[in-house]
Amino acid sequence: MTEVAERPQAAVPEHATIEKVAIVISKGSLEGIYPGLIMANGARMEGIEADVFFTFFGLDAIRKDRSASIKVATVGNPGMHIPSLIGVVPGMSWLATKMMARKMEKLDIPPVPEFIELIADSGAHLYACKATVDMFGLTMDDFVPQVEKVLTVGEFYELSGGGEIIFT
Amino acid sequence: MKRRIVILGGGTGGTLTANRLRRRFEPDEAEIHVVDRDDRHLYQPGLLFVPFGLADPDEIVRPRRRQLHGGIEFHESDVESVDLDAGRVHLGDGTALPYDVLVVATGARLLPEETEGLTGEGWLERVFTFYDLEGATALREALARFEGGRLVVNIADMPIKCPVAPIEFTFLADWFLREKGVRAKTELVLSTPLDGCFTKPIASKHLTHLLVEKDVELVTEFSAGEVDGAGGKLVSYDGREVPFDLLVTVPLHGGAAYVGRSPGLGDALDFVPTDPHTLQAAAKENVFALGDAADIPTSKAGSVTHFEGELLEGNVARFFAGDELEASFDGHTNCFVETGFHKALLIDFNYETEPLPGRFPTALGPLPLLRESRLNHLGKLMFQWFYWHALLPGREIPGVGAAMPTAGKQRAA
Amino acid sequence: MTTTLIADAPVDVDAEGFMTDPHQWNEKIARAIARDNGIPELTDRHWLVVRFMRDRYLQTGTAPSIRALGKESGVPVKELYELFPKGPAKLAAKIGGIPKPHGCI
Repeated sequence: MTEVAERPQAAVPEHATIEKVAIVISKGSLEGIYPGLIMANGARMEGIEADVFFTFFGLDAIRKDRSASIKVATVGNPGMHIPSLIGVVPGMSWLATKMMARKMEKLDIPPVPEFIELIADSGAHLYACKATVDMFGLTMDDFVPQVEKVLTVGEFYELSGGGEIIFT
Repeated sequence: MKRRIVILGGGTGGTLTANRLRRRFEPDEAEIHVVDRDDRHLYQPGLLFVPFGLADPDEIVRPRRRQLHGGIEFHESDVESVDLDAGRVHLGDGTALPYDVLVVATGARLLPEETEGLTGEGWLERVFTFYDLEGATALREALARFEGGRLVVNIADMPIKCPVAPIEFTFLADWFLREKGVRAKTELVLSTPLDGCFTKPIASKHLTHLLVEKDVELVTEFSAGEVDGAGGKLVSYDGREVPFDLLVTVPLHGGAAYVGRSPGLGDALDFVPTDPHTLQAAAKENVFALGDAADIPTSKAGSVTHFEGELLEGNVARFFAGDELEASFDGHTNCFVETGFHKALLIDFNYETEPLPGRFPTALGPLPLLRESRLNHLGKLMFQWFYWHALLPGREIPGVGAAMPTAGKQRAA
Repeated sequence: MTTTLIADAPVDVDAEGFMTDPHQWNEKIARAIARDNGIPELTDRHWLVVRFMRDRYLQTGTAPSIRALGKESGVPVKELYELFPKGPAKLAAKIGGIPKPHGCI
């Protein structure tokens, strides 16, 4: 009978920590923007490097003229649990946004402009997507001062090397 | 010939009238001027929510100028008096503003000093009103600290703006105190000079029923002559006493002070006697009044002002054309009554018809009348959006015309 | 939870080294925890933040959010991250002898 050699055990990998994240924010609604911001802030609170990349309607969060008026989508948004026919009524989105803003304030979640400042002050880097910037005819002047530069998608990949990319 | 229309008051009535008239007349047909002493347009229905932390004071104030369309001149100034014969308004800085037509839209002002002791000891400490921003904000602090006792809501005397507001306040207080866990330690009392909680009998019955359900003591026919802030009691003219730990009062109301300084314009309370169907002032044919400033037999409510707007616009035009005025204002009033616990009741009525059950604005609703519902509560909250975006710009609210709809109403057999 | 020795005093800590009983804390312990976590010396600014966190926790039962910390401690967010590089909310709590904060903000 042949002796079966003991197979060497593969080393069990140590629980790896995340050192760096790149978060993409692509939507312009309140519920589309906040997850990315909370993840960026959460990363910084854990000492994780964070780059935040705003693209398409996500640019609204960093636009001087729009970041304070981000609204909740009440139409075609099953997560809201109100029928779209009601969501369409003028004033509904405004009301839903007000109610959500009130709840967030109670939980110490800042409104978008303040949150952007907080995240930047904590050392996260904020960028705008060149393709979208060109499409909407924007310039750095349209953005809040916390935005560092406009990046192409290639530059974004370079920056995210070695880290995790989170798409929201 | 270019006419000049001067509108006194840049609140609800003044703004919607200015915006309607600006759309009606070309710039070379009429100049439109609005005069108000400040640039802070307050959404008054929001005041009800401020004491309970449901609205922030800065959420409900916007610049007056921003609510006025282009081509309307805004004067931030006091009004000294109106010279009806000369057709001139005398402003606080001494200048004069002549007019071809004057619209009085300066609303009603609070007169807390007219009730003995009200602004004396205890004022803004245990005695409050939520009818102005300062009072509502101070009351918020007091309610946050309230741990039980006798909370009395009182109406000094009629007329007041929004007769349902004190009742709504009482309902919301019941809800707020329950949420806070101190309702069992609180006696809630509503005291009113009326013989019922509301001016109209069927609505009064429904509202009284809710008051009883919520364990509120109703004291009727109580005209508060004196407030003893130190001793914590209200004393009526006929000697009855209502003790309190916290008093929320609706003070006496009067018209704007300049009305009293303008001979012939106003009555003893400084309101402007006005034809209830044409909105023309009794004082002079080229003077009109709308909103709380006018002395007509409706409740003083923003909805009335909105419904008056369409007719007023038409009558100013008819007046300029020399035509007979249309006498069609029916006193239409419409009101969401917050009843607490995320519900509200809706009442809709006019000069002839009191609030009736049924559905609004059509027989199919969607809003139930004289019945609590969450949809009505949502309607009340969303109304703020309509106020800034539809009512003030002088537009109609979709589905709700100026005349009271009869469609959904159930009359007694 | 285990009991360990920090600055020669017995202290109850959880698996990550956060104290589970705030009342066992003293300044010597704080300095020791700081040294063990990459902050060799606590300046006045560090102490301002640590005391603010500890006071707020003892008063309200929860640690302040990073937002509250930035707005109310007197030390702005930027400086907070310079003083406590790997996450001020957690590190200042650890040094302040209060349990690990459980918030997302």
